[in-house]
Amino acid sequence: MKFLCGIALIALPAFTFYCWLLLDSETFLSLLQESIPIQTQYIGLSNRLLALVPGLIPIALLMRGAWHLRRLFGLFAVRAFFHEEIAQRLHGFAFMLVFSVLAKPVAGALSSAALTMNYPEGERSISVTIESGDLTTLFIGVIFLIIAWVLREAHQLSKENAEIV
Amino acid sequence: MSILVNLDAMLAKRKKRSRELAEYVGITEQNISLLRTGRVRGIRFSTLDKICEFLECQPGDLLEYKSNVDLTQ
Repeated sequence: MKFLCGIALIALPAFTFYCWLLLDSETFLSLLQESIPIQTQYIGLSNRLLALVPGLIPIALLMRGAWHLRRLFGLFAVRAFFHEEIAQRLHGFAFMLVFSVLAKPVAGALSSAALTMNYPEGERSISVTIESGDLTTLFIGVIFLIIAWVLREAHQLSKENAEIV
Repeated sequence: MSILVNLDAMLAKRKKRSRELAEYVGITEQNISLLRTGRVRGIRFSTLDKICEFLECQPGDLLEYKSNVDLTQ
């Protein structure tokens, strides 16, 4: 799992850069319609580059989350199941997951504005979308946050218990 | 902390070693050492019971309350 998280750390930005910069306009637009529905036939590279910057925000947050997850599985690999860091890493991952979902509509709005900024007046657009998948991710993120809190409390209790002979 | 642990004194009085006590009580020597230096948050009644049994003493012989003012004197 640690290895998979390491792959995710590389694959997430690589795939994002590939989609935003290297895909042909038609394929890029068809992919884009799912997250940023804008009415256009062609998008220039300069617009793509500009739109990529806000688009990277949720990806960067997810990467940070994957980094926390990688560290978490690293601890599991050395059988450090009751280490204090377990709760910290789970909390970090969950926090980044929640934060990336919250950042996604904002980043989408900024990206859509950047993609259509060169269009004539009346054709420019700002698109804010929230997908059902995002809500599921948000729910899972909150659940993980609660689990991390419970783990932290449990660790505190176990620490106190260890000081009683 | 205003509670003093007089385990050292009782061990010396009964001419017993902390290793023997640890074995009898069923806890590690490290924990006995922590108890002797008072660096524990608490002591279980079961542990106290075993210690008293081994050293043939009362809990009051092992634990002593001293106010903070007394401790600094």
